[in-house]
Amino acid sequence: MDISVIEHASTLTVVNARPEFARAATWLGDFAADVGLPNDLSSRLLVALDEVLSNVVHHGLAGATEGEREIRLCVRLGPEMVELDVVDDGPAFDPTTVACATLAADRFVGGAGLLFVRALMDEVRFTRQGDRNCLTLCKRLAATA
Amino acid sequence: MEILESRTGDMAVVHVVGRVNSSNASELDERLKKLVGAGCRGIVIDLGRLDYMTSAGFRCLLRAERQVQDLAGKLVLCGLQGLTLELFEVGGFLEMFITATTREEAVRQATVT
Repeated sequence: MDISVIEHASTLTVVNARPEFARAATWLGDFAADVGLPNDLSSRLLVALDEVLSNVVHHGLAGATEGEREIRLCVRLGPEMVELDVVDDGPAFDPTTVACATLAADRFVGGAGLLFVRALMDEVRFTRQGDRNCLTLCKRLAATA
Repeated sequence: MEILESRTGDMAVVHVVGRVNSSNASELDERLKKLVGAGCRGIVIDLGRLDYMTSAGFRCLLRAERQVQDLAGKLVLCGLQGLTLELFEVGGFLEMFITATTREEAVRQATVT
């Protein structure tokens, strides 16, 4: 068996409420520390998670009763990449298709968040799975720049 | 996040340490709002020991900047480095703020005569 392909993974389910942001950040920070990710990479993932969760809670699930909707998080460490899934049951929304020009013009009201996510990650993938949005943020382990 | 603050007359120097994110940005927002409310016309924000700031933090800075401008004052940032600086560049925020390389220079720039 090739030990290098064994993955470390962790999952967390949070609800659409403000205190959950800190719980999610602690979970991801703990995972990063446990598997020995460099601080810079860990910080990039934490920024991206904060931005994506903000978008889901304040836009995707806007109008939903606080605390009643679940957002599932899953982080996996592979031999070359760390991947973070954010899965919500809000209306279909693919942030990877939003034009950058629109984001830049819109940054006062939150567009900067998506710009940050795209710049900090190596790949951002979206899939619609049934009635759920699944956004996967990928960061290569080697180069963090 | 830790916020260290010193005031001399109507000049305030605010040192933001650690991480600013959705969970604690409102705390920074309140502190800056209080300084503006107390009549500070020169505000220097030192980000030299900041790990990072998410867009929630940038919104606080933009709000404070507008409030200080309404008082005909100046808000100047200094100590931009590492991931913080990268986020300023990515978001195009460098053009929206006055920045200085050192705290002393920032204080000079924020001094309203």
